[in-house]
Amino acid sequence: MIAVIKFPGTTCELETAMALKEAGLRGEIVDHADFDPDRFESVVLPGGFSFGDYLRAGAIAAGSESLKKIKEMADSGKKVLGICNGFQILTEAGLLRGALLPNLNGRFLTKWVYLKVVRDDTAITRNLGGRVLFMPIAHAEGRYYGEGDWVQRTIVMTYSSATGEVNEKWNPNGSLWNTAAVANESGNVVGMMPHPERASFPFSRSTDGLQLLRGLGGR
Amino acid sequence: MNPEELTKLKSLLGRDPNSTEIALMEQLWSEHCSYKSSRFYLKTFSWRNESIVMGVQEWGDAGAFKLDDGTIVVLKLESHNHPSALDPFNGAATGVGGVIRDVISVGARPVALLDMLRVGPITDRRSREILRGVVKGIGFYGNSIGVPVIGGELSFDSSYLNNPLVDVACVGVSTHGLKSKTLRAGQKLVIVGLTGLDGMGGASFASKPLDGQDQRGAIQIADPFSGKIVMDKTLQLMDLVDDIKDLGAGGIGVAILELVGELGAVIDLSRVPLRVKNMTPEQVLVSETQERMIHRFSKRVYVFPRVSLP
Repeated sequence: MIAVIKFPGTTCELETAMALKEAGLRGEIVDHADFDPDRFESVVLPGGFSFGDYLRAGAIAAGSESLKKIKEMADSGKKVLGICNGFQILTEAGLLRGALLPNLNGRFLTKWVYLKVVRDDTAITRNLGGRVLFMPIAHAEGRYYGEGDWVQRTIVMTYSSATGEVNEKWNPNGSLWNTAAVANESGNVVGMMPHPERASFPFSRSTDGLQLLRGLGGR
Repeated sequence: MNPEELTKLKSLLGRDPNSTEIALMEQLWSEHCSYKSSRFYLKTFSWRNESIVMGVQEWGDAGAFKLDDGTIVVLKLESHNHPSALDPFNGAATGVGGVIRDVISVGARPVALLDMLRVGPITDRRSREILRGVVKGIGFYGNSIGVPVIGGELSFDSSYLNNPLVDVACVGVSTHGLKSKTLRAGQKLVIVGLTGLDGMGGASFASKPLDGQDQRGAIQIADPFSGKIVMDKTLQLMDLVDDIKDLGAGGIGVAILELVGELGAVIDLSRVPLRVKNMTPEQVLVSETQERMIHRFSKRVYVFPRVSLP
């Protein structure tokens, strides 16, 4: 069973749980205060505005008790995926390195983008190395930034052209090296700004999101 | 309130109304709440049709029709013109909150928003400011609460200078029927959300021409985070409550009067949860603070779901 954590202000829990079902997996929406980590094999932190994004996007949720439990799960090797606001929570909580800064143009962005998979040793990208996936982004604070040699090793997906070219032209928000998704060293904790759950249904423009979500199944 | 209305109120009560009664009736009989001038036109709408579940004659907060598979689609459209002229961002954002809560009030889950905007010429600086604020307010509120704006329309004309039209529509879906509006004596009412000092006399403000004075106290402030909590918890309680009512123009007074009809209700204003201290009973009665709802229920046990903050 996969836990889909809901904080006050989380908005994408329903479609995330439905997308997991579409991917052949079982997800359960759990209130952050009722989260029992022993019941779940993996966790998704869905998008939205946890605690109204007051202070900084994801900052208050990062300090909640549930994140301590998620960190223990991650340390024991269980899979953790943060989408959009969930990614922001994971960086705020220190489960992923780096930070998500306001978009370079200072505005909220919503558009469909292509993503090139550059790391295939993570929970959600196994067997997808080099593939180009199509799904939407919708965020105001998605400019990934970090300093040090470690940054390039963390990158899982980069914004690209439809044919997989990665350069500034395809960078929607000013992210360092076009970064759209990163993972920890062992690859079981992944954060991504794009929304795979919005590219998961027969009526969606693409179902590429399912390829990523399927990775959450199994051990 | 005009002199004839005051005379009517006096004769209904058989005495002089007190200040609280005047404050309440001023809201209730405003154009905004009673549609006293547009009622005539509304009645001419055709509404009898086998797929219509709630037509113009029956609805309280929104209309509804049925799809072939039994799914009920709820529609609500409302203007927020006056507040948007004075405070484009909050005026438009609270307009979105209002239509979303109206859709929830009939028992549906809101799924999409539309906006229809009319502003002065784009060459005019103030019109550009209004448009920018309105668009930002609608997007901000809808996004924060998780209901996307999926379309809309926009045009410019000098007749809209300083008096923009800001209409927002919400679409909701229900697969388990709608809330019963049938009243029974003995049912209980609970107000969800905190009451503050914003939006004082908003309904009567919205019904009069803008007079150029500073009337910002009449505008409600948008708080989508609180709105999201009230919405999620209400959707969670949907099966437990008999009915739901949005607190909009005219505040608690108007909402409860609209809700209980001829049955009447006892309101204990001292037990309304407040956001600020020392509000007068009159203020509590007419405050139009957003992000509040009334739940009507008859079950003995009613446990409101917990909201945990770290």
